[in-house]
Amino acid sequence: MTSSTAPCPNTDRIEAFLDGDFGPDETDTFVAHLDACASCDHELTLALRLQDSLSALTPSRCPDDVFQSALDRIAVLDQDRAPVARPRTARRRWVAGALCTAVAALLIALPILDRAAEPAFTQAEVESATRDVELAFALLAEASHTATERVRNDAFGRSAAQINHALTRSR
Amino acid sequence: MPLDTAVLAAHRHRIYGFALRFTGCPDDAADVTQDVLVRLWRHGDSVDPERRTAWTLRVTRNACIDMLRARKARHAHTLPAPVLVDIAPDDAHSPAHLTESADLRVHLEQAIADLDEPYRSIIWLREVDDLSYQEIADALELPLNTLKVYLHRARKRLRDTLRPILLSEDQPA
Repeated sequence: MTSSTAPCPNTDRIEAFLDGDFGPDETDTFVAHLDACASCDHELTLALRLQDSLSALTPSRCPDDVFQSALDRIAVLDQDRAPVARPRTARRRWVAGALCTAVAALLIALPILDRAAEPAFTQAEVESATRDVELAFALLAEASHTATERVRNDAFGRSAAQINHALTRSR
Repeated sequence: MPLDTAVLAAHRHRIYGFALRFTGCPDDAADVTQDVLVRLWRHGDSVDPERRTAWTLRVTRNACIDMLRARKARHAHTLPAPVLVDIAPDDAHSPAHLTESADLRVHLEQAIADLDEPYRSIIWLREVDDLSYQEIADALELPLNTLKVYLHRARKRLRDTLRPILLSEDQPA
């Protein structure tokens, strides 16, 4: 055995040996070296003691109040996330706009169509009014498709029937 | 979709422990932990669950670096010394009652705290938190081989620092 005070270049390989990085042949060679080298054998003993001491350490624990504070912040953020129903708000706005446009078109066009037979209106005016009403109905149909069932029932149900009746009567 | 709080609870100790060792300050560690938990809640669902630990530690490390930079910018004075963690055994309120193993533990934790980064984090994540090499490499953004070299170097430094104490274990009580 070599002297325990003599440095051996193989001591740098002890960690790799402990980690099982060596293949079978290299392991056998290193074990044989340990039998012959007091320096490496001594270092291996210290390395194993260090390994035992490290494994006895316990991980730090997060204080409960720190975790609770994080959860409180998350709860606030979660509440802010609730109005993620932005698409729904946008959809309602769109439906309301479509409804207003359709109603305005009908208010202008229906009186013309209602008195289409009178000579006060030209054929062109009647045709224009007819197109306005058709556009209004197209908007109503799209809005009806986009709106929720409740909005559809509330907003379109009766008025659509009345408008349709007025249009039929004007023809 | 935000993560369930049970997942956050599972990561909280590791996040706090990492931040405490990295910043050396319990208050900073608490701030970092809260920030990281919020980020984990927001974005963790988009991370592969098998890589979530590494992702979380990477975010924690970056948050710690930001925290230290901000602290350095605020105060010109030196950073506080790293704190020792979990050093007091339950029944040892007096130094006279410290056992040899507790004494070794105190020295060991101080020796780890004295290591530079990334050696300190590597030792702790591997030896205490028991993470795989791959998880640590991902968390610290190091190549696997480099990580192993660093780990071996860190252990050797600890061995050299603690040599007198490790040798005294030979002595009869």
